[in-house]
Amino acid sequence: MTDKTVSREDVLKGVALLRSMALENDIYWTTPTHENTTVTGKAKQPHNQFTAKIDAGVKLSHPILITGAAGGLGRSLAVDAARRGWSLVLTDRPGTNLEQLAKALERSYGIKAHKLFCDLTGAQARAELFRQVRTLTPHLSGAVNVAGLDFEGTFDELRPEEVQTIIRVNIEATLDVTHRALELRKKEQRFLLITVSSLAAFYPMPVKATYAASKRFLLDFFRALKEELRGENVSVTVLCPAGLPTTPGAIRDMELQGFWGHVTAVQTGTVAAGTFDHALQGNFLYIPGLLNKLLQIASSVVPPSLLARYIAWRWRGNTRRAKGRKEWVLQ
Amino acid sequence: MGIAMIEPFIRTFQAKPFIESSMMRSVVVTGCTSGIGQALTNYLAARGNFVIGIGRDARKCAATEKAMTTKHPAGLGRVITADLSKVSEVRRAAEEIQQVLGTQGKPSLDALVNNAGVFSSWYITTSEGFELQFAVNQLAPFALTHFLMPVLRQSSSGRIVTVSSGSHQGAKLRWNDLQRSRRYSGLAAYQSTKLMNLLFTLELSRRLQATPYLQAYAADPGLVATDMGFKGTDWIGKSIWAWRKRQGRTPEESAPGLAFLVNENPPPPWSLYWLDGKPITPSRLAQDSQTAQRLWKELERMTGINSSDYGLVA
Repeated sequence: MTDKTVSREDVLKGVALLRSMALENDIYWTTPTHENTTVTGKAKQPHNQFTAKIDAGVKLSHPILITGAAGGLGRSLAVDAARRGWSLVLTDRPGTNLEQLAKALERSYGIKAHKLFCDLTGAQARAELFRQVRTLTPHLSGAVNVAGLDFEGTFDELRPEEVQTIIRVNIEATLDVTHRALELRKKEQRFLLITVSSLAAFYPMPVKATYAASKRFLLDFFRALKEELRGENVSVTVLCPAGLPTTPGAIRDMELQGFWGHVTAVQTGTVAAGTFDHALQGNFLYIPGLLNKLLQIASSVVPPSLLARYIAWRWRGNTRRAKGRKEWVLQ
Repeated sequence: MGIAMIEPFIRTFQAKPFIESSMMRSVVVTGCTSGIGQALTNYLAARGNFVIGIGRDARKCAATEKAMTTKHPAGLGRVITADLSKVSEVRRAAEEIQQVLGTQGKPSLDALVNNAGVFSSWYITTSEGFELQFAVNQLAPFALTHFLMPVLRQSSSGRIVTVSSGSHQGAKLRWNDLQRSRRYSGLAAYQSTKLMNLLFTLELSRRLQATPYLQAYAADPGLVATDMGFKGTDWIGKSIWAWRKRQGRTPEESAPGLAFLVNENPPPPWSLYWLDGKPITPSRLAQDSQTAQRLWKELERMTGINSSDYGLVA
């Protein structure tokens, strides 16, 4: 026997070294998931604490429906779902470019991606959408409500139709789609119900009053729905992101918000992956980004009236800055 | 210099027909409206090449076309507007290029310079669902090379030059997530697309062995002070780029090095990767032909392009 003692630190160091070596090799040599090979979650580098357990590949027996799939976040969610080998039914407004997205996803990940066009503002159109969904698949394994919109301006500046459209798409269509999608679930099988709300759901937001309130509606509604569906193998998840840098336009908006816009932004790919991870874990609320989580917690102890005043004050500052920049560009 | 890098070359070089004169060689340059592409376009046009540029911004395209034609001895040149982040647009651009060549009475394209590149700090998907940097920096060169293969084959000495970068050093590929949708880092994604450029060139030159009059090269433009790092970058990236830019050279300085691969006959030692007319060694991973073949297959699958349809048989 040697009298050499091995300290706890040494063991930990050794483990860390071995782990990093395994990670390096695995990242480099793991077979792509689309080839339907078993990918062990063991040695993969997790993007957060959830991935390691989940990336082992949860297979869903039926497609999942994604509304607003042609937009920035919808597209990223579609890509991540396809990466997991799930079949998709993608919908968005007529005239959007779903055709090529569906084709590229099918080629890249070896899945089936259907595409259906639907203007979700009309009840007729939504009924027609689900009639078409039924012809494609008898059941759904999930629904992701991404479709949602907002118009620029204060409540006064918006036209009455615009206010109505926000309510129609964000609330009416989301609830209708949810109801019809739940009808298509197969009992005893897992169903993922995911809805995109917003960090704005936690505050009364001047200048985005209708939008923020509609997102608050979704947050409260799905919290209640989760309890109604308890024990039915339906996971209800609400995603509350801050502004997402999904398109060059969105990035410009984010930059106008200055420092806070930057530090609260989270990569869209990370959000998409995290959303499905949370849904598979059965978590209700997903707020991407540590700082955003902290902001939400901090804001929950501040009286709403003060919050609203603060946000309005900040908004005016941003508008001034935006104007300043425009002049600068014009020179 | 790894043997894998040289090997496909040894046979092809001897059979290569030498370029007699650079006058009126037709060249396609992508990303011609700014930076290195613009400098190269002007440089080539001034030396009598018939340049067809591709740019994204219609206004900048018109300005570039005007500048280029004034430099060209016979006032020739053309710029096509296309958004290379979409494979469908790449296809359209290729068709337009073939039309332009037809109207100029040129049956052949003598060189394709895959220069267009983007940098983005943020994970952005194109309308086809590909990550933006991956789509522009690697998918577009892959697709454009295929779509232009019929006219490139008509040339007596064709060249496919892909602009890579020294930043590929240290890059790795994540095979289970080539587009880095998870845990995205703009710089890592950029580096890996530049590594892909080299692997693409390696495999392309292997697939071109049967046609020694067609040559594939990768070029390192050096550290060039362009505005690339300011587009779609966060404040950290912008400040780093501003610092780097001060040390960089002008795009005009790196243009001759690229034009050399387009119009001259590179002397031995044989290499696929060049900087300022001198052969340089890429990273070890960039010389791995197995990796290159695997990447090629992935790209074929993603774009839906079947390389053997274009005569690029494995």
